Amino acid sequence: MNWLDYVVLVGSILGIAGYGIWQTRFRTNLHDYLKGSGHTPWFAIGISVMATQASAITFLSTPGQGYLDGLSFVQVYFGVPIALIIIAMFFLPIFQKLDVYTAYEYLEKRFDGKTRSLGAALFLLQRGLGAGLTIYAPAIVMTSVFGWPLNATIISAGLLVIVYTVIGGSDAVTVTQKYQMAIIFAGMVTAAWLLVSKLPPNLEFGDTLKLAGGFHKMNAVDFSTSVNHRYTFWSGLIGGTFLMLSYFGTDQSQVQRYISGSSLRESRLGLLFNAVLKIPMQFSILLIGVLIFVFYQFQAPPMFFDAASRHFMQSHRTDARLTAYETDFNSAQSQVRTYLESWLDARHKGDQSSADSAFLAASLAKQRGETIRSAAAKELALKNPDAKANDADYVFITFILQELPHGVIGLLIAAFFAAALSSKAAELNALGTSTTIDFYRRLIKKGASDADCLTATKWFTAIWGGVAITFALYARLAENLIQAVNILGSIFYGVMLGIFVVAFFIRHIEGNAIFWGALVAQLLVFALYFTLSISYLWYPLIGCAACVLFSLILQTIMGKKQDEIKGYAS
Amino acid sequence: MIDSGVDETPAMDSELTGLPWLKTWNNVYVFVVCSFVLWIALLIALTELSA
Repeated sequence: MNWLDYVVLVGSILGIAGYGIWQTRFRTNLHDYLKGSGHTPWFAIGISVMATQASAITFLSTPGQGYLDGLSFVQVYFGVPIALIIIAMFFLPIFQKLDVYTAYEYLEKRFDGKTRSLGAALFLLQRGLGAGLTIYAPAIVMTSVFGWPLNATIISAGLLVIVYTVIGGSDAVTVTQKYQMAIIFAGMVTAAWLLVSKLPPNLEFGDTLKLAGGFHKMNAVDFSTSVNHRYTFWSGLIGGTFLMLSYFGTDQSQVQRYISGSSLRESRLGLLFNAVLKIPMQFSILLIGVLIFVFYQFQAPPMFFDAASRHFMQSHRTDARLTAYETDFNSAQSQVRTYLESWLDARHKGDQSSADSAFLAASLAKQRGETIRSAAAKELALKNPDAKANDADYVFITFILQELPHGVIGLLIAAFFAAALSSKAAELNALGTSTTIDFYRRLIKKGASDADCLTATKWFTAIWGGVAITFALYARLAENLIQAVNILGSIFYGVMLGIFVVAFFIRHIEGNAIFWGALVAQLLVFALYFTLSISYLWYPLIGCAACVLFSLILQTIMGKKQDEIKGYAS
Repeated sequence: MIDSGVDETPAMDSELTGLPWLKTWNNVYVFVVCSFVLWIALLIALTELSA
């Protein structure tokens, strides 16, 4: 990065944060602070919902997923349209009519105080842990690539988001997210444009599809019924619907975004805006990864994109075995390029048989390259346990730094930070709100005035920011970053959804049955997660079904204690 | 229909979508489902064409 990149990065990030603070500096009313001034239009809500879900790892890791596994990850989002229609039809009207600050307030109205506390506690637990990941993930990638100090990066990004979220509350989140998303879209569109311009001039659109498809990168839909396949049409449609229903319907960081609409209409349209755009958006980001894959078949790719592995390779040039692996890998990749150029020539001349044999030779050379890479990764892991050759998170950033001009590099790094700050701000805003409304005002300082609650919310927002920073400073991740966040969510979301499904649709179930049913269901999900090897997309469905089933059984055993069930269900 | 326990009648502005081509919420939901089906069809076509 040069001075121009730093000007773009620092100017845009600080400029947006400063504008957000300036616009929302007079929020002294609790209602306005927690739910916004009530003038938020549907487009701003739609952007805010999108920005809250799309964190930095969405834009850093997803192209890497596309590069390594093709388009199959898009299937995770097949549940979004169905889930958002259900929320717009059933959840949203109730939240709006009851004028709640948090989704969990509704649980007390429908069941009892302890069920509300359980729902809010599950949210705080999983979102509090996840909050550390959303700040750690971009920081670890940026620092390992640029050599910035990790702790200073985490702390400075964390403090910035804490400052504007604490000062402006919900409106500050919405206002800044609008401009942060503009930076993100500008960066991604520019990167895609430059990437396409860098592909070989004789590579036509049809050639690109065939090439990517020949290497199994265009596998957008897989109808396999195996539960062990992580991403399939069925796991995306069924499991994904439950995951998205849980996330958008019961996670306060999302609920707080769409209940801030000035009317039911604005909130609904904002949600449905995402129902239409989420799949094409994720597809486009994955496609960038697939195009980077195509690009690197005609250019020499590094053996490892992962920064720790690359640094280790560079600093151990005297290691004969590692150097031999790299030489062999480069040779295999060079053969891939030669065979693919022959394939293109034959294809354009209409010589199908020569084209087929050239592509077969290219595939075999590619396979050999992958075998060499795997052997080198094992050797590397023995010599340096920190170098995990976890490429998915580093593919896009490596391409950006090696291939894009200065200024654009700064814009894209600003886009990653903007994404990190936008999702972080929504999380902190929701964590502070839920802690105040669901615990402080009910259990710690009963009858606290609005002014007390406003001050408390600011303090809790700052404290959760501190927790997230602390967690990020000590976080170590097992898998690639975007999957780690999704897996964490899938463990808790199912039971949360189960509580809300019972609340909305099963009228005769009371507080005790749902409370204990939810606890047992959560224990079951923990047990299954550590014993089974099924796709994580199924856990929200399992958790939700278990919660509903156990509460039905417990209600039958306990019998009906109240003469009259509270009237907040179907 | 969900019983909210409060006012059962949605406000009039909530009934109207305010969109020129999709005047009722049911039409909006159908539009979302159609766009979803269209995307799935395109992705299936892309998978098959590139195989």
